[in-house]
Amino acid sequence: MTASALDFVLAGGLVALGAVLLFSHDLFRSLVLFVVYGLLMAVVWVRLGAPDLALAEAAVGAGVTGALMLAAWHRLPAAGRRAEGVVSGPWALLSGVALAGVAAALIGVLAGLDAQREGGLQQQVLARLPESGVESPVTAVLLNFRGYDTFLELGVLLLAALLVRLGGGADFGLGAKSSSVLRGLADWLAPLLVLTAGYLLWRGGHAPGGAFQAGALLAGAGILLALVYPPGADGRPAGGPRAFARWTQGLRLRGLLSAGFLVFLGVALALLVGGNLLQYPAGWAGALILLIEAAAALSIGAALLVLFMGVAGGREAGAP
Amino acid sequence: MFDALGLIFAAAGVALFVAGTAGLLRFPDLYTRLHALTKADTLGLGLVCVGAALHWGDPLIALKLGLIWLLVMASSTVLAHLIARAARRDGVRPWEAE
Amino acid sequence: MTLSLLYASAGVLLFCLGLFALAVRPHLLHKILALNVAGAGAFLVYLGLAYRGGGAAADPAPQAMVLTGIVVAVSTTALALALALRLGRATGRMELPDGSADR
Repeated sequence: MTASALDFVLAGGLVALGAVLLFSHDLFRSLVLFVVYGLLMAVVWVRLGAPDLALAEAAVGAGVTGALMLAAWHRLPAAGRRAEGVVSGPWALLSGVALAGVAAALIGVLAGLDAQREGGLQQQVLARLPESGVESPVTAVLLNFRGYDTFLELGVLLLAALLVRLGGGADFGLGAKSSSVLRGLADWLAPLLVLTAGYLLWRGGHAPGGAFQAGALLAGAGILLALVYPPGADGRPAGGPRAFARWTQGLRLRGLLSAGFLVFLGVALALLVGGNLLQYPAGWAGALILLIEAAAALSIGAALLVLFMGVAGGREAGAP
Repeated sequence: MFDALGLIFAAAGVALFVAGTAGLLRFPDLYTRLHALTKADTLGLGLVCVGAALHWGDPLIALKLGLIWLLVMASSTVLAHLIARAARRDGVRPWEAE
Repeated sequence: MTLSLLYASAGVLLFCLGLFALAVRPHLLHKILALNVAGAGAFLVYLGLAYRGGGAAADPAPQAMVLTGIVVAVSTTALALALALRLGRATGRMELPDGSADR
């Protein structure tokens, strides 16, 4: 299929936006443009027939990453907010020329690949889809055919959350000047986000959606509540939903963080007794996948919240 | 019939978005830019949603589009308030005609 | 020009732009942004080639890989930001020590 004018605008806009955000002299502008870049990327994923990715990109790529970047900006020492510098000199020029050559060569290779492309893995996935226990091909690949990828990914997420906690300590204190209007929004938006997360999780079995998108929404609800209800003297959020105060610290938070990895590990070990790694017994695949996905969604939500807090928390550190 | 009506609504919504973007680029200060932006967000998106709902002609999809509209409207309203409040506290003065 | 090739080429350009910015922008936040832009470029190459024509869903295997990649990218970004902030707190500068010699 040949590209239309819309595709040229989208692809060209994406590259131009990338160039502007990387070489802008205003760091704050770069960060804001990065969020726009993520949202434009989500539109491209829809255009390329990948709604799962569009959901994840908008929520995680633009949303959570953007929030992380802005939170980091707020904690920069005053001198660190200026970023006019660009390294120049012969090495910079040389690497620029070399990378331009690499880009041209790669595009040439891609043109060759594109001309002689075959069916890819789609046929194989669709042929075995009835055995996978779910109807959505993406979820089938994620949780069944290549379940070990997702398993290790949960491990990476858990490790990152633990390291960020070790490094800065996720004290859930933002000390944000909370607004009663924002609080009013959070009070009805947070439950709605949790409800939508459940819907996306359930929907992931047969349509775009699943544990990642659900987890991102849970994290969004958590970040919103943490922004609105900063902790009081005892370290617990003063006000706000009691469940939020209870589940975002101590043993329960650790349980939430590790639930996805541990449930996945448990299922993998139990199945190892019967034969191969993560090969679900016939008829059980659907139930096991839903169990793993539910635990994974909770863990992803908790881990993203901890990552955000690790970057945003601890205001006293050089903030103006 | 519904398709043509949907197209008209969507086109009106897009026109509002274009007007809002023009305002964002051309208005003199933060407060007037916010004013231009939130009009496009609320009414413009509402019109696009009505257009899309008419195009699909499915009550369930219309319900979801309505929910999207409400959520975006609520968050853009609150965000406009937060940005304007933060700007006022930082001492950004409203623009005055010379 | 096919749609696959267009988006895959845009991905290559973004990847190389990101690598270049990683090399020449000294500020650590710029470097983290550059890694993210380059990573998204790689995803775009993958999904561009996974495109299956007019309205059909893209090849599910690359979709799943990129979905995994997005979550790994946000984990590494958060860890990198936390480390960069610690470095900034310790040294008062948001640049790697070597970066100053070239300026």
